[in-house]
Amino acid sequence: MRKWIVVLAIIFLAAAGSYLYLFREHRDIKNEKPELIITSALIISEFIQEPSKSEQKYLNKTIQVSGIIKEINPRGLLLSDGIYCTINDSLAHSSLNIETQITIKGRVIGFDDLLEQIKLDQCFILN
Amino acid sequence: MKYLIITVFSLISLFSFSQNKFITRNGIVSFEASLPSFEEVKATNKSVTAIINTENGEFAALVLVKGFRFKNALMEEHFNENYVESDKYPKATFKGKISDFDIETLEASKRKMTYNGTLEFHGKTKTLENLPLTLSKDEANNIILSGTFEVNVDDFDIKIPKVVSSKLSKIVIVTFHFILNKK
Repeated sequence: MRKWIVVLAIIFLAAAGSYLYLFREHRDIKNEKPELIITSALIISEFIQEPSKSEQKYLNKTIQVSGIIKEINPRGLLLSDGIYCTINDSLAHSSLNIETQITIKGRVIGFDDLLEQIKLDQCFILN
Repeated sequence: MKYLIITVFSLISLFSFSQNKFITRNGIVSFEASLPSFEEVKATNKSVTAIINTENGEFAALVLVKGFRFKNALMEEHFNENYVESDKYPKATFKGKISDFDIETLEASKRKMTYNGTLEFHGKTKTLENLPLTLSKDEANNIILSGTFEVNVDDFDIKIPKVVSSKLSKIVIVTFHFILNKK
């Protein structure tokens, strides 16, 4: 009898474990601690000097960056002419103004060679 | 002196006139490699950059591979780490030209056109020839460009392990949709 309980418990744990592995949650950028807190000017100059090295360094990392808003559109923001952030919640930034200071958190997805801009997705506005 | 000023000004206006570029940073590119009765293999990237030169129809798009989002987080991880190696190859680019492009002929209703170009991804380059796309113009004078094409994973040297090869299609359907604004 006891043996069966142990066997069933193992089967249950294996099933639960594989379920959690197969259907795990996505990264939660909003609640992730940023790996780096930086100003837009600093990170832009890093990317301009060494684009591919910086891309490798920051790729897929959550960073917190502050800068001046240069452009606002329904899906994202352009910071200091060099960082483009795709915003998850399209209404959250409707009250923002161009030429004001902002701090955002998001995930670096790479360097856009066509426009020479760093791209972030899943961005959240901190203030 | 007067002529010099006129020449300089006409040169400047000529120069700025030739900068007829429309761009987007929020272009959408999706792909699907699903097979019937298996789990959906599909991802969408909503952060694609695209530029079109309205003078001659030249077109470029850049996809940052990390920006592809799947419904299933594990699938997204496997895609990035094992299949397309997005740390090593973070970009996919397309460079090409839309045939007989003329901005004056664009209107609200969709117009079918063809394009040629090269697609670079995962360290490999593939030529896309005479593929169809649709072009239109909205009320704000944005250019709307969309289309779909198929690629074979073998063309890009993407290895799919035997265990999962029966669950996904080697022929991947790629769709794109860009709303480009005048720069």
